[in-house]
Amino acid sequence: MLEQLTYNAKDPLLFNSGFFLFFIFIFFFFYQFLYKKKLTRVIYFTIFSLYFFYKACGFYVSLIIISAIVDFSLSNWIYRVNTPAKKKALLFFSVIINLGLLCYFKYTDLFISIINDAQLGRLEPLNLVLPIGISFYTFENLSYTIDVYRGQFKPVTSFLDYLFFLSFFPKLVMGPIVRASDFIPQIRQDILVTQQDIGRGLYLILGGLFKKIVISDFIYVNFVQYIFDDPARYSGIECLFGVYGYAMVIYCDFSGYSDMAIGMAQWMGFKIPMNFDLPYQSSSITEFWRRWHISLSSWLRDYLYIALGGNRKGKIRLYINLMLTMLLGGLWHGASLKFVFWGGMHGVALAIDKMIMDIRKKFFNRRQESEVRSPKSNQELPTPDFRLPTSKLSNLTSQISHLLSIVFTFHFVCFCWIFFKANTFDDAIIIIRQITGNFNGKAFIPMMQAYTAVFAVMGIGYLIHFTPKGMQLKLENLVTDMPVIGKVALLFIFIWLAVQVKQADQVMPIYLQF
Amino acid sequence: MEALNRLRQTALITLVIVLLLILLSLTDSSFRLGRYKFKRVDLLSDIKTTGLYRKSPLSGRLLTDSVIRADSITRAAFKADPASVIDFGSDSLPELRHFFESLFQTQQKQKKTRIGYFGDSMIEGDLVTQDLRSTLQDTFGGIGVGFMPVTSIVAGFRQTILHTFSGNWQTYTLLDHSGANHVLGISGFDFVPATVGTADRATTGPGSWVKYSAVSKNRLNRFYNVRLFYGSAKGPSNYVTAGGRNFSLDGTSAVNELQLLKGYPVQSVQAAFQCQDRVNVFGFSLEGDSGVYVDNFSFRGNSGMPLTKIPADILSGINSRLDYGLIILHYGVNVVNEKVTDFSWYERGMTEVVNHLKAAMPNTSILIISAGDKSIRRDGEYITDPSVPLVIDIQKRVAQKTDVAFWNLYEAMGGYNSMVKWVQGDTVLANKDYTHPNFRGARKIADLLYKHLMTEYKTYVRKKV
Repeated sequence: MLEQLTYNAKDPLLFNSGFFLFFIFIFFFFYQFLYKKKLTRVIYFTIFSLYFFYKACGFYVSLIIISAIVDFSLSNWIYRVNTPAKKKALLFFSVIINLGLLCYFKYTDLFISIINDAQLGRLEPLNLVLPIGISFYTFENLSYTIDVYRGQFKPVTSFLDYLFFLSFFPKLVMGPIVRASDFIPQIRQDILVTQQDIGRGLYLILGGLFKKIVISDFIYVNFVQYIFDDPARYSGIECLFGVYGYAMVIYCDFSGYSDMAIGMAQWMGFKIPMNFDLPYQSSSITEFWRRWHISLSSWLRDYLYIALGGNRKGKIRLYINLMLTMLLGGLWHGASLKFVFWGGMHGVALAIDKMIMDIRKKFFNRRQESEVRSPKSNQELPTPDFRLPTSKLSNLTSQISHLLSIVFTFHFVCFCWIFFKANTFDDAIIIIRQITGNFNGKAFIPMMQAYTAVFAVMGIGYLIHFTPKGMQLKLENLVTDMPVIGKVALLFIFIWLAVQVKQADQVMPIYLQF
Repeated sequence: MEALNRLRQTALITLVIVLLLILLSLTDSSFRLGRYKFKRVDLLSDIKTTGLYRKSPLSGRLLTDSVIRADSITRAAFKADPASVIDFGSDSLPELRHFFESLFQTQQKQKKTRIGYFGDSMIEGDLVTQDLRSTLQDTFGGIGVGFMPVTSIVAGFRQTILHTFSGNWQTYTLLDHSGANHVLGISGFDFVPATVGTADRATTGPGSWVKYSAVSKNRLNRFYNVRLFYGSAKGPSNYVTAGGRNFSLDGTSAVNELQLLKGYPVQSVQAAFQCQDRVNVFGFSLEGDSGVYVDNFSFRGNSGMPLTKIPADILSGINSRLDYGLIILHYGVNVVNEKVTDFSWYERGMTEVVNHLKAAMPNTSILIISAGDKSIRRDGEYITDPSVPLVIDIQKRVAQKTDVAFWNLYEAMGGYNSMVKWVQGDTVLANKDYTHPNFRGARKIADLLYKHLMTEYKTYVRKKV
């Protein structure tokens, strides 16, 4: 029994483990009695969070406490000192400590391997275990301190509140990256969980469970990992579907985990902004990044892109800033140059997208101007009868072009995923070579036969993803309006289904190692 | 406002869920619906510390019955190491004598030694064979990859040669049942070039071509001799052009040979076919003048049994030109199936294969390599497929019955649940399908095989001298 309650490196605590169900049940059971007492609530929450953290990564839990102490003190100090130079020096100090810790744990081995590869020395890699969640809470610390420095946010006066914010367990392992300015004001507010919150929370938990375990884990373990493990053994069509599968895997895994976090927080009375907004429905890469891992992309925008100067320093600088942001954003995902490459491809695509948008805007403006300048021609516009069919036609063409844009954007994103996921750069090239030069379309039917269940599940995943938002909202309302017994039944069925699909050999969430 | 607060519902919902799941864990809730079995939901299994599966190693049985010679049984029992090569021939006539004698002569620089390594997807892309070839050539000499097919689905994957070909070859295989008008070569494939209206001897015509280029690796960076093997052809209307010279394909035997290049090193060779008639092309051999050659005859999904479809005259025909010292049969993974307990059909099939090969190549040794370990997922845990030891027993039995040599790869890999270690170990030796060793695992297999073969070889040489 004691073994169960202590940290086990082989079996870290995640939302999809049986242990978590007991954990969350005990949490909610006592929470109902003490949620009204503010200080007790904060202490209660923090203890659960720190224990969760301990179960997930052992004694690295001390790192989060230390970083909470450092950032809490520094931010208050920054707030108190009154010369800009001192403020800047303190901020610099805070950034160095935060990024220093992150770099030490995450990037030391990458630097060592670069030094070794360049024959500048022979260093032994450290093989450090990456503390879980460090990428997430480092960014939360940074945004908090920078907000205080920028004067946008008054630092919290209670250390407990800050520790509560940083360690809040639903978002601890895989995000979202919560902003202190969004979250901290909620800590001392009265907790109110409405019927809507229960319904929406349940909807998110059910969806998350389904996406993470039923879709992502299933198609990953039973198909996608085989392809990426040894792509040369598979024909182009298998590789292609492996890539499509992976696009679904990474989306469902990451967004499913995020959704569960947001849903649970909602049940506890806390609102966390959405992290994914059906990203593959995007019709441009700019839109994709507005809908994919929103908490990260908005963080990068606010604290990296804007800090670099954003678009205020001219066209050239804008593109450079965009590129730098995406390269570093790529590196955030993992300590490997292939992630930098992945970020770079997205950076180039975003820059091209921006250029096209600028050209379009110019063109559009000029046309509008000319129309404004000659009001007479306006009156000579065709009659409504005549206009109707053309507008229908242009409506259709714009719909088709919108659809094509979605297909194109999706495929570009998939292309980039190849480099993101492949074990090595060479493997990525092999996958592309197989798809382009060794497609073997004949393999389609046997492939479908061999992996019927996998492709059925993958199909369901894509179907759900491309379901219009309005319909999804209706479904959410349906869940909200259910009586409690219906909600219990629904959750029970989903858990039962997840157990059926779940592999006891736990599939680690992909972002966990980031 | 307080009336609106439904926070208590969260406690209620989780309470009922946990109670329901505990209740479900206490009963056996598995059931069948059609052919699908729904698993038992056991929430408590996460809390319990004992694993679901007791890990008892499966013992390799000794096989005894009237069709197996008595000394064969003692021979198997005699070996202390279950991973060593067992020669089921007799003391006076050990099975591996042909191979070892050939190897001995190769060492004395008197002749080449050739090994035909038949296998399934385990050896695709020259896996295992490339490492075995490399270590053997280190010791006994030799330059080149040996036999090459004309087309291959894993051409891009192979590291030991650059292999490209035109898209207009017709490829027939062991598993095509449609074949009166083609003849399978030793590799189980038959390649037919596109026919042309007039054989104008131009290399740029509409005919089919294949090109092999050396790679910059030791002993693989040049070819000395390039030989083409093909079936009987009608006469002067069929040509192949290579190295700027035209050769007519007009052999009348079951297997004919054309030496396209001889004795001087080249980095690449392209053979362009201009044939007015159907010609069955079996493949090429790229080799030096001495040493050891290991031919990779891979065929994915093959159980081994269809090898009887390769005609005896083809086997003896090619053997008269390539002179195989050893034929290796490395199969089994494709018949492993947890639902099957009786593999006597496999015993019959493989016995026939061995006898077929023996009849066509009487002076060639035969070595059966067993299936390696392969895991299945049972309640989330990876364990050795229970039918793996059954298949291996059958393979050993075939070797005993036909008096050939046997090597237990499963034992050499580490026995029960070794695949789990190969996949999950610090150095990853196998793929996540828990079936295929990766290039590192393949190298390990080749090294183990080399080591165990050499142990036997040394004993042979000691006895001889």
